[in-house]
Amino acid sequence: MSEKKKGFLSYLGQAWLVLILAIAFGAALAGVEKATRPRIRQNIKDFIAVKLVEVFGTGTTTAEPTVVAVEVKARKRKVNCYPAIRDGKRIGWGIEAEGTGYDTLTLLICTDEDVNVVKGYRVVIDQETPGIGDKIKKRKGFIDQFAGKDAAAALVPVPEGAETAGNQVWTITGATYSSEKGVVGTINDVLPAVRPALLAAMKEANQDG
Amino acid sequence: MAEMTLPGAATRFRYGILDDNPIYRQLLGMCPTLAVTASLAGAFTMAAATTFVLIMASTVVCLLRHQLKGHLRILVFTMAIATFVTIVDRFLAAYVFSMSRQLGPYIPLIIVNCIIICRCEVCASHQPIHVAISDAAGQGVGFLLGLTSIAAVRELLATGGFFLNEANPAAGVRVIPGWPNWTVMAGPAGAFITLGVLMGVVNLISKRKKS
Repeated sequence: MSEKKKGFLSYLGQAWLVLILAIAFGAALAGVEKATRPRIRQNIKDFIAVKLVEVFGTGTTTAEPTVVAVEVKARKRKVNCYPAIRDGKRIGWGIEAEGTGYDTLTLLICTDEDVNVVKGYRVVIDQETPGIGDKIKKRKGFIDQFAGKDAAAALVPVPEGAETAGNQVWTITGATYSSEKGVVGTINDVLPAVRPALLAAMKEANQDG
Repeated sequence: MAEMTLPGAATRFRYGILDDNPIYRQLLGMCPTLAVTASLAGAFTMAAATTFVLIMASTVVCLLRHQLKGHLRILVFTMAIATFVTIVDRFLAAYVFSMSRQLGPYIPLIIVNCIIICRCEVCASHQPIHVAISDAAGQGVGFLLGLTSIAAVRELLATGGFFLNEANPAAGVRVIPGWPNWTVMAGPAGAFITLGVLMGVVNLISKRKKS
């Protein structure tokens, strides 16, 4: 037996427990994920329904999302677009957008019915640092400034305190990474990809209906 | 032979709560201690999650203790801890979604909580299973007492009561009517002040008890 082969077997002999545990723990986690996923999805849906009321006003309801297949940053994704409905009429959309802040970040980007105007955003899931990055879900002035921005054009981040015009939004000093890369970056990445796909899906649905 | 000289199950359990309290005596788990004690509910959930991981990881490590190789043991500890932390994280997101959102990254951060890896190294990898479980349970109860004592003081001084909810005024218990909310107690400064004062009180009591 060659020295190289001996070394390999020796490593395998030492690591057998780690390998078996990795398989066993991996299988256990897959089982837990499978068992809890439907319930977590439902929790997220319920949470989004509450946030749509917050953005679009009392009396807003939602329904099953329209799922659009898009490519964001060279990665193919399926994005859930929840309709905001009031008095039986669709008045806007809540787009569940996945991006990256300090860690994975999920935003609800709200737009009008034609996806022309941003109505606001809400944080659905985040792992941002409490007291620092999590200001993106607590700082009212920062959150409110997104309402009325042009959904067809990119948002332009400017430092906090600077005058803003058009599609400019100020970012939070001390949470620049989360507010600029996390929130502004996610909106700028996801909206241009989702907008045409969602408009096409609506057109198709109108033709069918 | 070595096992006979080590503390037994009852002693391990008692040590975890009092003499070796993870927060007031060992000063371990300071990250969640300072971060999640702004509310009693958050502190209780964190302690329950940590206790579950402590007991499960100690059990697995104890069952494997004769197979553990010295240089691979930390890897095995970490794998076991990470698995149970992920399970807790998923269950909280599924069944206590609002608390999962409130605790945010602090649940995944249990993986790096020194209390757990410390108990795996000190007790679970050396002693029989009943001792390992007693030790983990004792440390869990000690952690629970530490977190809830700090959270109780902070929440009371920050809001004038317990479990109060601005959105639902009927919820919770107001202990001090008309209390001018000390918002500093809900922030990081309040956590450091409360921890320091309570640690001083515990030291004082221990000193008097000894003398």
